[in-house]
Amino acid sequence: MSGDQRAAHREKGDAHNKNDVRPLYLGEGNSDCQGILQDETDMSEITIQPDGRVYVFGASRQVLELLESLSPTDQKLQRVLGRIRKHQPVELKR
Amino acid sequence: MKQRWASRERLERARSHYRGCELCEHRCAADRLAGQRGPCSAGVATRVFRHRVEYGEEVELVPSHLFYLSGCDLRCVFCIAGLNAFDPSRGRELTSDFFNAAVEWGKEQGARNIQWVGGEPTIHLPAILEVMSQCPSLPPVVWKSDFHFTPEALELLDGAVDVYVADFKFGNDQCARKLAGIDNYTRIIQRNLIAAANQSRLIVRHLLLPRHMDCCYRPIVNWMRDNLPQTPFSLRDGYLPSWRAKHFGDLAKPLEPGAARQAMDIARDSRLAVIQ
Repeated sequence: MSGDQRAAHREKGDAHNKNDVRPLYLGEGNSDCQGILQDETDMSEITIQPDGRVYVFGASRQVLELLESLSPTDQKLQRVLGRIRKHQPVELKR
Repeated sequence: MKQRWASRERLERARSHYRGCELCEHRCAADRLAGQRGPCSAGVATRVFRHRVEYGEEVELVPSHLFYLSGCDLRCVFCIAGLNAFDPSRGRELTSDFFNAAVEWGKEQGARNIQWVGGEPTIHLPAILEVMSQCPSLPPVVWKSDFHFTPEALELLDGAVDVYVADFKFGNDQCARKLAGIDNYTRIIQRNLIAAANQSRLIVRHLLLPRHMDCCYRPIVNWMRDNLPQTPFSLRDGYLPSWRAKHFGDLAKPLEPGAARQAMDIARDSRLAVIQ
């Protein structure tokens, strides 16, 4: 990414800041979303390995609920979901 | 409401690092106000390249509102944040107006705390203290760090942080030099872990690295057993090759099957306070 492009990113980010505090994401230089502001709030990054292992980075509540529907045995997932239900029972989509 | 820790003297002491930065153990003394840059390349602007409420943190912390700041004092070859972490010009500027509004947005999403992550938040400590000091309803604060900071930086954080989450990355200095480009790693992080544990709640996190069981993981477990056996130990087994890891043979592939279970057994056999 050139210095000019980076400056343009900054300007877009700062302009966005004035009106909206929702999360934004400045696209990577080598991606299709270069220069486009994106809301990453509900974005989780999921990688599935050939051996079946599933990696989730930046898990949102919706993704956790989706994973739960697959009835995994992962203990941490169960505990996190338990915590969500305890604190936000109304918002859970069951 | 003014934060009790936010004295004018402390904020000025924090800002003085912009004139001669000694926030991390590179101790570059860069005059960031005058345009000088140290190994982290950070100036005086602090930028947020992402903020969102997440559920993948330790169970006791979620839902947590994470503020990802660009810029870092380390250069870990496997960094999952890559360029966003290493380029401090990325993201929108952290201002009080933005921060206060974002905090309220996070609360609406159910966040129980805010969490400063990076990159590395310590290199932006003056700006962070500034915005937190002006926040009318600051939630509990989590400081997720590589713990390569100086005692001066930790002193500035005293009282401002409720929970430290420390990334204990390497078990020896050779791996730290090769994979993160820093010297004296074990001495620095061990000193800081002890100090942080005496200051506030501490969670020690370790990301299992493939084929670093004997050189890194076992020494970390042994040190924790001997020094901080009651401190929550969070074992992370989600390593994926990122950034430049493909150029480092052992790190070019995901964690080998079975390694996570073996690591968990080692931690429990050592009676560490393992958490998820």
